Amino acid sequence: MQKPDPITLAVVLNNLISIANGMQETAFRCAVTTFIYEIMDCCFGLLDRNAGVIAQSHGILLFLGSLGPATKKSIEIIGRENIEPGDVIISTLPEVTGAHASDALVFMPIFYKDEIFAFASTKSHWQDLGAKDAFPTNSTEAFGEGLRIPPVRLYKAGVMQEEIWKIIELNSRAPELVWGDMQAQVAGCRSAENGVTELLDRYGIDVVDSCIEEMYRYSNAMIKEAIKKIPDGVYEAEDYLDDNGVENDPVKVRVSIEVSGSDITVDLSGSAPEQKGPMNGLLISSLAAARAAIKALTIPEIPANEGFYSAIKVNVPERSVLNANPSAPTFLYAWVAQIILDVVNKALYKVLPEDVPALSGADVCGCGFTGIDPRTGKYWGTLTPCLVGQGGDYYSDGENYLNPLAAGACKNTPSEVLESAYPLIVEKVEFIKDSGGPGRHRGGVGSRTSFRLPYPATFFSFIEKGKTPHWGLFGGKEGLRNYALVRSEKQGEFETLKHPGVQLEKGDTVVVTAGGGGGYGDPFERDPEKVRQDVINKYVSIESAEHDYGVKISPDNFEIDKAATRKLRMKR
Amino acid sequence: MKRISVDIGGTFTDIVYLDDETMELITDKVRSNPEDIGSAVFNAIKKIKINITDISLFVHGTTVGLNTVVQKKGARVGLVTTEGFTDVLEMARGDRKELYGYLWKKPPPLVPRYLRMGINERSDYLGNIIKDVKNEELKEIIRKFKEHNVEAIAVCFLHSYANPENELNAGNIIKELWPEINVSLSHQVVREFREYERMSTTVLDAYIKKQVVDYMSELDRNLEKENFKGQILIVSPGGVLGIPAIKEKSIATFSSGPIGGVSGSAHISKFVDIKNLVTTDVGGTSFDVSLIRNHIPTVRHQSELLGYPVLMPGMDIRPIGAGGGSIARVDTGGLLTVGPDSAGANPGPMCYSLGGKEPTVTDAALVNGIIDPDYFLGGEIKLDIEAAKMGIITLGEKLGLSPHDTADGILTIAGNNMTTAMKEILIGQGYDPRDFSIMSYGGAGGLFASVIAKDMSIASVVVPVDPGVFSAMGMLTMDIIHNFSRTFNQTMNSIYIREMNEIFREMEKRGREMLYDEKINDSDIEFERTADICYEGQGHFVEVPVMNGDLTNDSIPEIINRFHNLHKIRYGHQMNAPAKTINIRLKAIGKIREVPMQKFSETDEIPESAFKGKRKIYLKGSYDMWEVLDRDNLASGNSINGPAIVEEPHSTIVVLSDQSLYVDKYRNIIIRSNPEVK
Repeated sequence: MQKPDPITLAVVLNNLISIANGMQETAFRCAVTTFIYEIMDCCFGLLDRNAGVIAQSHGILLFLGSLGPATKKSIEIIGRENIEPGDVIISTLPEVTGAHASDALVFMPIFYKDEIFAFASTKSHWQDLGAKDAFPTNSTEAFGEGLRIPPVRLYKAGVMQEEIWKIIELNSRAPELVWGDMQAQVAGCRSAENGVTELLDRYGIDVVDSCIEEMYRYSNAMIKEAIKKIPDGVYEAEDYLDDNGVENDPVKVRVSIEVSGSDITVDLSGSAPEQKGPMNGLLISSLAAARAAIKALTIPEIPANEGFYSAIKVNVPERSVLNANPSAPTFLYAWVAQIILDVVNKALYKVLPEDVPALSGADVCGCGFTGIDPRTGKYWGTLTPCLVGQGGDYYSDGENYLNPLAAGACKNTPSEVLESAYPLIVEKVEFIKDSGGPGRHRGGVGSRTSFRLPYPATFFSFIEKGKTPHWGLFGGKEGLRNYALVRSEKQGEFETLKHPGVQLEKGDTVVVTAGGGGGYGDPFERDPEKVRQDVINKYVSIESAEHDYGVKISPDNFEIDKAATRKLRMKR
Repeated sequence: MKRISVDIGGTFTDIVYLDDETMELITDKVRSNPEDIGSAVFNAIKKIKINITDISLFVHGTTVGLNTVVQKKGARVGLVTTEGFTDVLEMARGDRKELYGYLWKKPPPLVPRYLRMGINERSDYLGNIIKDVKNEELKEIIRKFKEHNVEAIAVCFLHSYANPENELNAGNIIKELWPEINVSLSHQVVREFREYERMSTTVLDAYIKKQVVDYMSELDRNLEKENFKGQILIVSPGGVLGIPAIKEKSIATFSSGPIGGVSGSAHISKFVDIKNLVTTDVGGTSFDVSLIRNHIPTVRHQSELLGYPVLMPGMDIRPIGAGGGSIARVDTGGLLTVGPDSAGANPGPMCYSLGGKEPTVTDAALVNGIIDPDYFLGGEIKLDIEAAKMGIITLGEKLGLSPHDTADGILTIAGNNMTTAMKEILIGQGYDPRDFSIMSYGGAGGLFASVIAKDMSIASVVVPVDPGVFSAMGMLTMDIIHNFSRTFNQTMNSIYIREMNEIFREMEKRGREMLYDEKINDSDIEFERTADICYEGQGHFVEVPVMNGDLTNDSIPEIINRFHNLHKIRYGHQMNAPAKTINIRLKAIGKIREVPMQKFSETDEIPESAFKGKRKIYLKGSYDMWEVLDRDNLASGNSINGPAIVEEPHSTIVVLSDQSLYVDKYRNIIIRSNPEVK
């Protein structure tokens, strides 16, 4: 294939990225739930004819990495030869989508001159697919986590298959919302079809193909160049998830990363076996997480495509917590993917000290409520993230109140929106003093959100990293851990992390603590003036300043007692 | 009526003088001075030698608010919020702008945590007050603010959009205790829900207020000193506003510049009878796109300033980093990139010889013969073609391309960046580019418009008279517009008619008062009502026109019907779900006397003086001799086939070989693609 000239290359690549953005723009316009347009629990990508990623939109990082393999697997099941122009294929089968059953893959082929040139593919959380609970954090089998739809054609040659829709409709508690979001995903795919056809009309299939080839080649070269800068060696680490949702033991994830020249292999052998509870990963999502982890540490600024992915070798052991068999419960799969990013960081921080931050709060601290609104008699449900602090890093303090990288595109839900839309009162959303891990660069502080119920409702939560530490690096201390505190007239007062649903009454409260990030570097080396500023701004208490940072500050005028500080810092 | 407009930009300040009676039009440019923004106003007035005492209307677009934020010179703001929500400002929405960036940080909050104080007040989402504002609490806060030398106070309470009583009480108490302090109350800045966005907007307003108020007062004083007796109107994202309104809502000075051009485009669209325009304003650093549908600019309700959200209705103008000063580089992967970094005015492109070290779009256009080095700004600035060449050659060596192909590539990529941005905006809103024409202006607009039109299969391009100062020109066409909005989060139902009527009446009363203060008579006052409506559960609303006068039982089904239709047009489907109002909006419009457009008689005879000779130009891979025309000497009715370059002092216009240009009776240049010869 002839190499494209640099100008055509740049122009075609810009267009391809713009097509992926256009998919998202179009879907946002049409979506009917906050999953797409507010929390952004979705992603959009343009894939080549072999389902390799050409370009993707700004979405959930873990979703993005799995779009390609999920689409590829669906094509294999349907049979490439059976795919026609105008088909739209959907699936919610975890082993295919690389996600739990409430996330739906929707994609369509883009034909050009009677042949498949590309696929437009999207994945989004659907409001409800009939799981046993809205958020089944204690399921012990795949059944009951939501309707499992194998790859099927929702549209055949442009015609909606009513019987397929009927199955979905009858299995959802909120079919009209599923319908709206599904149509939004389809609209996104159709916009890509138009964009790609126009581009091919313009430049011809050979030129566009050669540009995509060239992009893969240079992306591959770039990441290899970046990998070369990591010293050769084998780097190992392990980290733990709190539990699997039904048992209490921590769940181990282990990684061994071998770097040799420009080759890198991420081996996840030695991790815990498949779990009884829903804390189980899927092969596709574990691969995606491992590759995203390496990309974020090597060339974060360049748009992702197949060229990067193919440069990173990953070994995911079968029947492990990272790669469960099809009948296993997987509702909490995303947390397994999250910790892969974290354990890779833990393995590489010594050789990439400028790139790896200390651990963040490492969770979205999701919680929500469902119930019948007595004012309308209608079913309502909401899910909202509570935001953690980020880990301190080589250059600066960790950011306060920010989603971890894996869910970085997700936004919070404004309190004014929550209160207007649902029978719910938000009493406060505040930073938590001393929640950031002490360090030369302090961990970012987390948040405390307090909800009060004006009417009875069911509360559920899926909070991780409540028992295992938000570790610091190079002498930095851990950040405050995550948890929820329920205060109920009938149920009493208790702390919880993962809860599939507890009935609460009017006036009961739930306080969610989203913890802080770990510190970076020895806190006794932190500039005392910065500690003073932290005390003035109440990120850090006077006691912690003295105890954790060795800086004595006067409570009257916030001046540093230099002599006492010197003494404190010498003592250690 | 004699009027002038002065538009302060980052690089140049433009001035336009127009006498309606004689149709005398004077335009010019002077350099902007970021250190003393206002000085350029008087330099410009001096330069065109007009008698300011005769002027009855002075329209002004200024960057004072923007510069205050960019240069971090704003006031030390103290923020008062509902207890429990003091950190919302710093929390933002918790999302990252860089997908893979572990080290990404939010823009720092404009108010540090120790100056953010909560008070024990509360309303619910319906506006019921649950806890009142207490004097003692505010007293203590003010004591602390004084101790910390706070210079402005922002107040933002939860759900104040639903009932402002607590904010008003807090404002009164603060005024009583500290009369000289500037206070911004969130419901007065923007009465809409989403606490972070409203708080951010309110804090920005407080942050820039002093600078904006001082600037306006000084401008007023200095004009008075020059014996100016007319009216001063300031450009805001919706329309123009009198100085008192700007002092109250300083945030309304943001993004002044591009607004004038869009307004001017809408004005011209009526004369040239083109309903749908996509406007492209290409200056030194940015390419600003907006849409005009049925002669009306499209509106957006939220924008962003250096990462801080601003909730304020205004013309929907989307900037991308592409312009004459955009820098061309080869990235680490060997790809040629153009922008978003810009060489700005200083050092500017390499050919300015002011120390620019990297080649820019202007350098590329110069090297390939598209710009005449001796006729930049009508010859005021002499361009150094050798300097430009050096930069292009160095870049070309990295790419393995000849200097001409490198320069050609820079222009192609810059043009492509513009095209993709335009497509995303058009297609993202569900529009077909082929239903639009391009309105091209800004100093570098003419370099790209014909290429973009061809790329997007857009049939025609309109280049107005003096496109280099068109934004200033357009400011003269703007009406006074006071925007009012109120979040009214209710299912569409006749039971709310009384409340809706009350809200509209209240907003109209206030609008009328403000317009009277701005010397507008009843006969020139108009109201436009709309409601933001969505299906229950949706997050994106459609702005639906609402009838004037008292709403009746029949009005609600009619509004719902309008909503269904608009939803269908915009999104391709309508839903069988209840409709819900989110916000109620009112535009109070004070009509300014319309700017006439001078008509010229048409002739197909091209004056000899219009031909400046031929020039060798390299474009899209080939060298050709192009006709060079002098726009000032082209006459209405003239029509010429491309390829051609049309030069005027502030701009250069490219007409491609398969296009033709036509000068219409208003002396606009219309570029059309020639019908394909089969």
